[in-house]
Amino acid sequence: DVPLRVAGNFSQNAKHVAIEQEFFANLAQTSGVPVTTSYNPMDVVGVKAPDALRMLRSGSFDVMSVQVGMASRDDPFFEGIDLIGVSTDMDSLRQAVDAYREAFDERLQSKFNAKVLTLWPFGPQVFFCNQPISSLDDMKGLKVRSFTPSMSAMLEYLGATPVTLQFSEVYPALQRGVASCGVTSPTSANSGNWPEVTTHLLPLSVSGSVQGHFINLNTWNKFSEEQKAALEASMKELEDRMWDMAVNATGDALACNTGADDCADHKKFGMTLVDISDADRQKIKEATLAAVLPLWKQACNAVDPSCTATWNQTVGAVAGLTID
Amino acid sequence: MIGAGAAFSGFFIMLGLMMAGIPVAVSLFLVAGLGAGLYLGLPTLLIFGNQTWSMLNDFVLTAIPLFILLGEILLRSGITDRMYQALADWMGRWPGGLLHTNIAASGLFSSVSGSSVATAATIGTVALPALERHGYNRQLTLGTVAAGATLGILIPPSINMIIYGSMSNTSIGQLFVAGIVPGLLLMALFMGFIAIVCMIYPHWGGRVEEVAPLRERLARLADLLPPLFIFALVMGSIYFGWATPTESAALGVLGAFALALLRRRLSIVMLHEALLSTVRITSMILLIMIAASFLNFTIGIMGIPQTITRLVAEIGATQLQVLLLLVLFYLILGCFLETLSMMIATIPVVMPIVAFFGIDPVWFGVFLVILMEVSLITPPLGMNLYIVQGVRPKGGSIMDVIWGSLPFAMILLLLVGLLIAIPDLALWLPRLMFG
Amino acid sequence: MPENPLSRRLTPVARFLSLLAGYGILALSVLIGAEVLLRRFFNVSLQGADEYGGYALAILAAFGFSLTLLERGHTRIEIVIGRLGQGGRALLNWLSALSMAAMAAFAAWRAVTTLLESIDYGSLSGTPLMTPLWVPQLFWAGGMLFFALVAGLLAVQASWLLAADRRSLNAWHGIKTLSEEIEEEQQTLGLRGEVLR
Ligand code: NA
Ligand code: NA
Repeated sequence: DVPLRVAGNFSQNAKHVAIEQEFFANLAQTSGVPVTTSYNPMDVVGVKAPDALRMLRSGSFDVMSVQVGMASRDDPFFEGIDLIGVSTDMDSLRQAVDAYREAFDERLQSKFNAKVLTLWPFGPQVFFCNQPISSLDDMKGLKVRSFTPSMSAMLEYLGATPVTLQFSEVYPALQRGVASCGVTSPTSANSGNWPEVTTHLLPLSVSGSVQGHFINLNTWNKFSEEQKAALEASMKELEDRMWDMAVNATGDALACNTGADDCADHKKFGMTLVDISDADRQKIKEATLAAVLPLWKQACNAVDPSCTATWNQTVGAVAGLTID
Repeated sequence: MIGAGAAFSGFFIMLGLMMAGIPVAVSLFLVAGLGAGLYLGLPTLLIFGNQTWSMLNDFVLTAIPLFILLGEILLRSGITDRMYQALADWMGRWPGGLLHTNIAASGLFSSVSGSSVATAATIGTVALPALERHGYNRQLTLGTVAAGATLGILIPPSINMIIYGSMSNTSIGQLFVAGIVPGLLLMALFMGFIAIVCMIYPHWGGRVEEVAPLRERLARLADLLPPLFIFALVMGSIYFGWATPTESAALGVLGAFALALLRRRLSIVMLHEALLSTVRITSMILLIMIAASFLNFTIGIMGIPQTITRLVAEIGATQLQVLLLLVLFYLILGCFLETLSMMIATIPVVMPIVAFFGIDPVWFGVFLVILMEVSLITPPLGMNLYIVQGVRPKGGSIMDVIWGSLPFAMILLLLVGLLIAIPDLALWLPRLMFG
Repeated sequence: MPENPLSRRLTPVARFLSLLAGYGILALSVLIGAEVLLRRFFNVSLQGADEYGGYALAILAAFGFSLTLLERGHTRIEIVIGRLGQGGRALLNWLSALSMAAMAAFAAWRAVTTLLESIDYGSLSGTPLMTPLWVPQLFWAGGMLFFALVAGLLAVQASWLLAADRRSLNAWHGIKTLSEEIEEEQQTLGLRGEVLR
């Protein structure tokens, strides 16, 4: 048997962790490949998300659930799969991910000695505010929690004040008014009880928070070609399940956060749902073109001059955007 | 996944190393390295650098040196000294005198600090010199500081509660509110114990100083204002939404700095001593925390916390028996894990048990935090013990801190019992406020 | 017993590093104070006070480890060691110095590797400031290297003393005694002046 040491997603993402745990426990059966897996959510073993790629390369874990945005610290190229404002719904995000996958995998193999098994989103990242808003225009002058350079660039373009806070500080910050708004997925907000401290939900998605399962190449190459194919088929099923959840669970979490009658599987709260106007969608596109893409171009081309060219041919082509 | 036998051997090896006088941090590190080398292979060890950086590069932990520096400046500018004098005027003749002030000050400070570590460092630095000078029983004094500081994670805000809430899908707002009544009750129990002990052994409660004339005592009440100003600054900036808890610590430092300037107590020599002291204490704590997080990483991968939790689950018993088993489990685990790591490692496996037995998750959060408080003041790995030892003005054996904390650990266990008997201690206030 | 000549030579450097780290924390307080006021009254955020806070803590730890080691401030339990004779104490104090050096060397090696990785990847902090990670890590890894150097020299000295002079070994590498602590405290109290009434 090939032993597989797996670092999973964060334990507060209980549903994702439950799926992963079950998947890896049954992997030998479902794929027919002789593996023995040991699984731990990443935070349970004290692993920080930005270290994921380095840990994969050094072989601390065989398989890791990676938050692409955080892991992009070591290579901004990966962030290109889901830049702020490029894919504003799950369908267009899936096209972008499929378009970028090959280049992404190549880069991961050559620089971090690891291979892509799955790529999938948590779900749309939307705005939660602790005061009345009716459109993106109302973000002017508000303090909004930001955690990436691209997001700060977008918020500044919108006239908001980006505030950096550690995740554990966001809840009290929203409660006490240190920050006025935070951006996360409806499901994460629900499990983190954000609706307790926020009142208005603007469901305009700025990204999908893409995640992936990556495997150390040395481990991967222990398998025969048939075994690799069998494992890839199993991983494809896992990937599809995660995409389904991003789409379906998000709808229910939105309903529950806003106290709608069809709320089923999440905690019910009473937030006000804000309608998205066409002007808001337009504004996000503007922000992406004017602020997000130029910033990313600078960072990514500094590491690899062909970066934006690759992006234009892949994600850019399906999204109808070009970085000059 | 390794067996319970190997896990317990590792534990006894660690204990042996510590007892042989190997530095505590190194003992943790060596056992982690041994486990990793035997069961996980070399690559696992190599990540130590990245992991140490990630663990240290943490704004929330930055509150530790900030709160220590705040305390050092207040201390070295004579402000806390005068505060204690003013309090001594009024409380000196109570049985236990300033020890009560000490608990009250810890409680007050806890309401602005989310961590027991910061509370222990600050109250310890502020209170210990005055207390030792007033002739209080050494062990009782040290125990009061170590135990009083555990209030830091029970009385809101509490970093531990925030982590528990987000991992177990429990309302953090309700958890915060749920900690208030048990926190106040714990203060009352601590003070009751001090009063009783000091009635039995009057000389433990410090010298009974001659009472100053009323006018003088009233005049000295002004000496209570500077610390109250700092508390108001730290607390107010959080409650009015100006700052996060860590940021409020920095405001506290600036406030203390301003007070020292006003009192013309600020000199380069004094400043340097305060800064060096802050660096010394912080790095002593952080070396242990680095090793503890590495140990947590290796035993987490080996599945030891899960193995132990599974043992608890498989025994199959009544709700009460399970709770008592969990008490025992956390007492044992608390011997070799730092509290945050311990919580993070066990919550995912313990929560299914909690749900299975129909235990209220808000109540369990309070229960868990009180057990973490016990762990903070019980050897061999009790963070508060080491911090209080670190800030002791006259040094001495760490056994003084351990013995002094023991009765307070018993009182904490008594509170656990009360909480099991009367769940409403935790649940009444959240029900009142959240419906 | 005279002062440890090795410690006496190394301490000024360690003190200087620790003072730098201390001033870093002080500067951080000012930065955070500015951040809070600007955010509250002018709706401007400096974005990064928290990031600098993280760096300050990591560097403080690395810079502070060596001074704490030279002053024998890292926690050790004395229950057993306190009851042994000169020879037993010497053996355990030597092992303590040796194991501390081993840990410090390992930590420094991995810290330098982490720094080299960050340079190699051109890693940027995943924050709005996009700080090149190697800048703060350079100071951090430098501090860890100095810590390893100090721990290594102390271990070499302890090894030499184990053969040559066990009394000095126990005095210079043992757990601090009560009287030593009190003596140091009295020096501090002298500086406080008015505090002693
Ligand atoms: Na608190
Ligand atoms: Na303990």
